[in-house]
Amino acid sequence: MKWLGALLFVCASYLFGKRLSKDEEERLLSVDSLIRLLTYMKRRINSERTPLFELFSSFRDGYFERIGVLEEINRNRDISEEKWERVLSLMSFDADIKTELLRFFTELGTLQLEDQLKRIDYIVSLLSERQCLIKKELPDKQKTIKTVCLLAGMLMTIILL
Amino acid sequence: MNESSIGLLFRYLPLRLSVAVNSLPKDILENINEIRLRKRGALSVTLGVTNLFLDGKGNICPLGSAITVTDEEINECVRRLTEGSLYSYDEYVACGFIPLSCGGRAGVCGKTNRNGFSEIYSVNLRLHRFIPDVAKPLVEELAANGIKGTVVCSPPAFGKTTFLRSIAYLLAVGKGIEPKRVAVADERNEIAVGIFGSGLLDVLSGMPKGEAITLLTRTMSPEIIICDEISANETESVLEAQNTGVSLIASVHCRDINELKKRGRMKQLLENNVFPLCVVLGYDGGYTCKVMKTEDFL
Repeated sequence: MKWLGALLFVCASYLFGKRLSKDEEERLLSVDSLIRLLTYMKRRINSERTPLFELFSSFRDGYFERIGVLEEINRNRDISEEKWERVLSLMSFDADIKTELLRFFTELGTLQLEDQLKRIDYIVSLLSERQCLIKKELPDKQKTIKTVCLLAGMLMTIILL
Repeated sequence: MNESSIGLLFRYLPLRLSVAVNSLPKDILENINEIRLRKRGALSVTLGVTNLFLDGKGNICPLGSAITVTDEEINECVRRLTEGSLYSYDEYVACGFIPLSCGGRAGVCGKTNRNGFSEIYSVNLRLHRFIPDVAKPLVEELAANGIKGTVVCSPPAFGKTTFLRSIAYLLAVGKGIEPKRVAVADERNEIAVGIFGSGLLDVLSGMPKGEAITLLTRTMSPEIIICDEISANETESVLEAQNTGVSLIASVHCRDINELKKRGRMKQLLENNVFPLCVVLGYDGGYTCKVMKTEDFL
């Protein structure tokens, strides 16, 4: 019975590590989807000057739909800072980039065409850098997280035994 | 104009300001021409030629006690006017106005850069009246003596655009006269508000007046072209239209006929008999409208 408990504890530790490494993947998915949204926005704004909410309601993205980002954006036509805070809280971003994104979304729609397109370009370049970094670090980071969790689980098991 | 059309404008105002305006007595509310917001300045409404200031409770008050419009309120008003997408209205904003989804427009001014406005300081929400019979005296004159070019003159805010809207409607639907093919060169989306689709009316909006007059003359073969606020820039197009037999009904800003005669280009148009008729709009306790023959004062 004791050994079965120990085995279960180690397995739980491993699964916990796997879950944590999944969070890292979520960060990458958030960046990917946001870049896709911004690229779509830029194209529609540049060629058709489509108003924001028409643009948001026509955008489709599996990940954003799954985590409720599109639902939150299209819930109403409110464009307050609080709304964008709620939207950003659904995505997995680091605090520094979240601050920059909040500033971007709060300003969204208040700038003239040229300035608006420049701001989108700036945010896309920022996100692209982050995307490269996450992609580069992701496999090693996931491996490390899983290993550390597994080892921590084993260590705890030994101590408890 | 009625209360419900003012109601349409409330959707563009931040709550505090719309509550103040809506608290005005009904008789004033029904006669408002403009609601003006100025960044860090007073909220005012215009009734005919009178400017009124409002306090927080919507009472008429002196300038010093008027509601001060905050930066955030101006920004919110612009956000509402542009549906949160200023870039969609870039071309209009560069020309100093934002078309309203309910018809009409809001005039804007502020700090400009090479792309247009970098910051908006003032918004003028203009209410567009449709009073069908205001141009009846002119219609009677045209019905009796045939269609003739007409210049409508008055200082700003005396109802020139309302008069043009009325004459466009009356001629196009044939009220008091046989229906005419009327084309409106509506550069700033103002004249045709509320009369789209009336009778034999064609509207060309958003194009500079000179170009619009030329285009309408060539493509729509109208009997009458109507446009607002002609200036020296449109003289050539107006003369060209005159040579094709199209009559022009246009408005100009001026205080009186003497001022009209002093303007070189306008004098040229009058001497070329582009405008055999002149309508002078005034205010004498109520709005007045006087139809004259230009030969009488030239």
